[in-house]
Amino acid sequence: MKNEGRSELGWLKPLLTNPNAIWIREVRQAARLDRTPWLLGGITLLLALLVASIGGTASRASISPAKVGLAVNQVFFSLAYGVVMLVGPAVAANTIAAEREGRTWEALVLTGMTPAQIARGKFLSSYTTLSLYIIAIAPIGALAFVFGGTTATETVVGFILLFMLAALWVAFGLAISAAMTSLRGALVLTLILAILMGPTLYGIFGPGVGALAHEHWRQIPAGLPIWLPVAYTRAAFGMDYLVLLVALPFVAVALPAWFLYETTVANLSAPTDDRSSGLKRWFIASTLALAGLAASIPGSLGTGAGRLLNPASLAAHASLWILSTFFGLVALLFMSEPSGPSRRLTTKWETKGTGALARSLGPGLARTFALIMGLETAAFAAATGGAVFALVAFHGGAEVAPVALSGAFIWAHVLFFTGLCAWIRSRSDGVIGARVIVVAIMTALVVVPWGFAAVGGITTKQNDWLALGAPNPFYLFVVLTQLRASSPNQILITVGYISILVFAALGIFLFALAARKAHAVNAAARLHYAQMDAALAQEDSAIHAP
Amino acid sequence: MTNAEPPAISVRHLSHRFGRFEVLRDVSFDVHQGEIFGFIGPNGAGKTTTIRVLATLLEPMVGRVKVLGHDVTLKPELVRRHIGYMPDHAGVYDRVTVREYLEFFADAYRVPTAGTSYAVVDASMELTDLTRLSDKIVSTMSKGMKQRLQLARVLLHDPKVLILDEPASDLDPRARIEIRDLLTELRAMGKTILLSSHILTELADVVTSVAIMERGRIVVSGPIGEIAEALERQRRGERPAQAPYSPEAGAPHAPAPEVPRIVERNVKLRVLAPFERVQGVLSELPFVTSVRLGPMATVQVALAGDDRAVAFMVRALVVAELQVVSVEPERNELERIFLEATRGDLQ
Ligand SMILES: Nc1ncnc2c1ncn2[C@@H]1O[C@H](COP(=O)(O)OP(=O)(O)OP(=O)(O)O)[C@@H](O)[C@H]1O
Ligand SMILES: [Mg+2]
Repeated sequence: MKNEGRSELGWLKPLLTNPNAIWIREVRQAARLDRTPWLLGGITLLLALLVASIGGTASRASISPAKVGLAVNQVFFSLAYGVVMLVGPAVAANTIAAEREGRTWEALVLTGMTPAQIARGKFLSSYTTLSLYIIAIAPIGALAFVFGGTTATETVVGFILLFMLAALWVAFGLAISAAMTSLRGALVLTLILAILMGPTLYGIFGPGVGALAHEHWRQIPAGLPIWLPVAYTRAAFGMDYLVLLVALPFVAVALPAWFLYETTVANLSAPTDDRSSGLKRWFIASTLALAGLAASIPGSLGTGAGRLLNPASLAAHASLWILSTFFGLVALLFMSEPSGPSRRLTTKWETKGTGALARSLGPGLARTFALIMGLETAAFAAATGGAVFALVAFHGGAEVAPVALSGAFIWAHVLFFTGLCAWIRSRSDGVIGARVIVVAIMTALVVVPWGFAAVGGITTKQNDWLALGAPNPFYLFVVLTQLRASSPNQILITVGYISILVFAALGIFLFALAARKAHAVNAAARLHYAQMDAALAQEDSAIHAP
Repeated sequence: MTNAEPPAISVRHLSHRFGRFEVLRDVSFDVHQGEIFGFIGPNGAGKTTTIRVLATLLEPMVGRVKVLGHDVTLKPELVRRHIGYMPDHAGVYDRVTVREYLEFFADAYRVPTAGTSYAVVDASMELTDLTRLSDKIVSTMSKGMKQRLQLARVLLHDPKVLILDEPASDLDPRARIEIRDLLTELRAMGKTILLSSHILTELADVVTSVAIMERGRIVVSGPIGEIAEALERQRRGERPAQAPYSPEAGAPHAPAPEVPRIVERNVKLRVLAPFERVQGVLSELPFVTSVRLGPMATVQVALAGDDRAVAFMVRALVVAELQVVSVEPERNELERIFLEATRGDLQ
């Protein structure tokens, strides 16, 4: 009860002196599960056979042992990632949904264990199980040494990364499990998502980013899916090393992990508890990290002389689109906000003397979306500013106008989308339904204007018709093309500027409507409770009167 | 009731809906400290829903619910610390023993001896008679044993208020008697107990107060004696023309069979005499409506009247020099209260 300190060290200490009860119990239960050793043995054997056969085939094809060693190393870690990606979520998905389905959940909640403590206990037990799997297959990873081609450091770093990814996949399974009541449902949904996302992420961050890394650092061999351990030992140290190999991977693991943790805790909390503050802290930190990276990456890439594309402009555009995706998802995520803090939470704040700053992170549609819009503005300003600085400093001011315009244009559309989310949410009861409506409106905005523009353009063979596409976020590409053209179409460019103003204003207007509605709902709720309390107080005094 | 000691449980104007369906409508009742409070009602009446509100698992939509003076909506953590809630169909964990199961909850509740001696675990196993089974795997135990285990679990953190949903539903007759003794023992230890049931005999001897619920409403609530009196008064007060026999008023009216308000009371007699003689004496009495030979040589008498009518009947038998061995109500008081209180809505 007392150990509610939020500092990270604060929960590491009781972990060692007073271990989480759920962890102990579940490890004990897992140890008694008869199939565990069979599963462990089976997977280990399967991996050993696969890796050995690949090694065998490669060496018979008279490839140099070093190359075979590297190949075995890559295959092993790819397969290990596959094991982690399947076993981790499956083990984790079981745990919370099993408590709900097995009707043990309520007894657990009534003990006074907080959702955060429960989430940690569940994480620790699932992670322990998954670690057993990793340790069981670890000796196969050592096979690569038989051939050479990789260093011990690279293998150790590979395992460290594997354990980090394992934590991420366990957290993913827990987040889904926390939102589900049925064991089977949680398991099926988690596995489907893992099978869809796992290989995609592997493709993007393995061979995909690996190719970019090879572009940037020629020391990294081309075509390696597991390139990061190699990059750590072989890439030249510098500013780019710090940003791209230290900061970026850290953010790429820490932010999703933190997000999954906060989602799990929020889903384990009662609807009238504070489900907002944790997620908002994550949101603020993520915005800082992403905006910081977006502002610094164009500069850290240097001049990039001799390249076909301007690397700073390319990085700036990629960052802006990534930021817009992030903020779009965040706006959809926070559509679950209630119109205001519950009576329970307000009472808690009052008794604890919670300050205004902490309260501003609490639940409430108006304050949440105000925060989102504020951070969006700050993040796009930082990203655009950083990129413009890099362009002026390293590229003689080339591409400044397109990048600045992109920043403003994407910001305006993101602001509009955020306002739309807030407004639709304030007008509907269900969260899922509201999200569907928002997505439908956005789809219509993308499809319909292009349709008109295309029909008009085809029939009249005139470029000006493209201006009809302005309500569409992808109209940006039309404006960019015109800005870079030798004889730009001024109408299309002007329409682009106008659409920036219109969409930003529309977003703020929709937000204002939503905020007004939420305030009205909150006031009505307060009135309802005040009346109820007054009636009860009157009744009490009537009873106690002689 | 003084202001210094709040009622253990106070429910005021509690209403709740599931979608459009009104499950609880303006439910109000108090449970005072030290009581064993029976919460009775037919299936689907809303007992479990009310109990889940008391246990902070469901937030009340309208009304105020307090446990030991703490509002369940506003201070759920405080309420949780002081209650032991036993759900109607609880699950247990796979592959843990009775002792491990209880130790886990002792850890989760952070009871003082958790992690060291686990003295509370031994104490609660002792109290619920589970000590012999301490190494049994819980998921292999019988339903009744699991119910005992749940009881042992809710006692771990020494709660002041026990909220038990159908605590005896899966128990065999012997275990039921044991649990009744246990409840009395717990009450003597100063605990307040609220338990729900639809099996009336299971409660009759231990409860001190009841609330009868039907279709989401409290029909009647309070100490059993008071309710019985109130019903009696109501019966006489409401329909004076059909008042049952009372000696001062002289010869009573014959009870009209089409009037449902007058309660037929059934009494079991054991008399050391042939049935015909007993029947002869009793059928003289105007308030006796039927006399039948029951099982094991008992005489079943239906009569319309209160306790005084019964006393008058016994006197008539004694005057006729018949030896009366025993007079028992066919139903106990609780069952009578229940039938009478819910009669109106059951039609
Ligand atoms: N989560 C729920 N969603 C919808 N309806 C519900 C829910 N829980 C209970 N109900 C309904 O509310 C009514 C009251 O249920 P409740 O479980 O409180 O009755 P009960 O008095 O405990 O009955 P029993 O004696 O069978 O245990 C029932 O009609 C039930 O169908
Ligand atoms: Mg029930």
